[in-house]
Amino acid sequence: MAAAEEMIVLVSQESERIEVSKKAGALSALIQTMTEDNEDDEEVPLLDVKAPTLRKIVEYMEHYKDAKLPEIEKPLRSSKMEQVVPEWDAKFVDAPQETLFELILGANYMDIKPLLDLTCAKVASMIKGKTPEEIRKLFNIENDFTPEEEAQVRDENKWAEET
Amino acid sequence: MDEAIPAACLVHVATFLDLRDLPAFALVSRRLRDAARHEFVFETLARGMGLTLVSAAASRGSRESQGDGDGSRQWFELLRHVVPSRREARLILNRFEREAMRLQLRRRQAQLAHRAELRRRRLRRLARLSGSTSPAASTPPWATGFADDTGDRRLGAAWPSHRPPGDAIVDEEASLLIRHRASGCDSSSSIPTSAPVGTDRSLRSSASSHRSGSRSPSAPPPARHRRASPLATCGAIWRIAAAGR
Repeated sequence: MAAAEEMIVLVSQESERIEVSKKAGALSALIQTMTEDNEDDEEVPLLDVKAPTLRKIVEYMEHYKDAKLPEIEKPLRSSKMEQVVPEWDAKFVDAPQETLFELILGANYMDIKPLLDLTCAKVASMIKGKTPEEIRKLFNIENDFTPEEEAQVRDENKWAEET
Repeated sequence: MDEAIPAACLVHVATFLDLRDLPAFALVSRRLRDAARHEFVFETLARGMGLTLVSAAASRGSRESQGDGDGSRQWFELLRHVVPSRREARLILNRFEREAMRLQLRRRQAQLAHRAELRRRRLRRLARLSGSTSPAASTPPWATGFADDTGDRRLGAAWPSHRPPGDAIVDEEASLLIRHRASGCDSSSSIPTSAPVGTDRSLRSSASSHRSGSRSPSAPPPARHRRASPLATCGAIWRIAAAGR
């Protein structure tokens, strides 16, 4: 009979306790460091991560605890995520913007590089091929450039547009 | 997004964008323009200057390992002319180095995989020679040393029945040694410590003595000349006894 998997408890911002196998948790450099430093303490407080985001991150870590993590090619060759990452990954990040940004923050805080790559690549795929105005509209960003500044940026980057 | 994502993550997003998409990204807002700057510098250097800096950095890494420690400093000075601050130059240089390390790691992994495949093939060949099918189970003991590794390392304790031809003489020596030890003789006087000429062990021993250079005149002669084999000793005793009769 297989031995029971060693588990650790992650505590979210709302003090919700979410279990994750130690092997899956090792994908996060933060969890790994914290469990190594406090071997007796099985709870890892992640006060910057909300419970729904943490559950989703745990889902990612459990999925990849035994599988090989794919590397995402830079720059993206397509704006369709399913063409640049495995199908499971593309579905995983096919989420509302708010969730996606929370995942980026969570991955950044918990130091999970492959998840940070995946989520940032998703944002890049949404930007790819769009004009500045389309990007502003999509992400609800205010244009804070003065006309002079905007002209300067255009001038500086003209060479790149010509390539 | 502008507010929701930290600057470091925006820089990370920019790394996934193509040079054609970066100008639009930089024109969205001030924060995105700043995030795009690293990527622009990287792309400017990598493409605008016509250099494949990643591979250049990789070769720089190998030059440094050969003692050219100025490589990193030269690249840093070059970057200082392009980017506004030393910190940004350092960040970009670090990125080149990471890319270079990743390339080297991939190359190393490919080498290791190739070696592992060669080893597997060699074991399969040995397995075929010994007439068995499973490489792990059928690795001939004479290929690895003793037949088993259970701790019984007596000479001849576990010689395989399927050893290669020509080892019979070694087997004979082994049984003689065991018998000699069992009889309680002083091991320093007449135990054969070297195999007869022509066996694998004697070849190794002569090869090692050859490697170590010529023997000094005062040094004792090699063991096989100094010590008679038990068979020779028996023959000599028999001859003396016969002469005495």
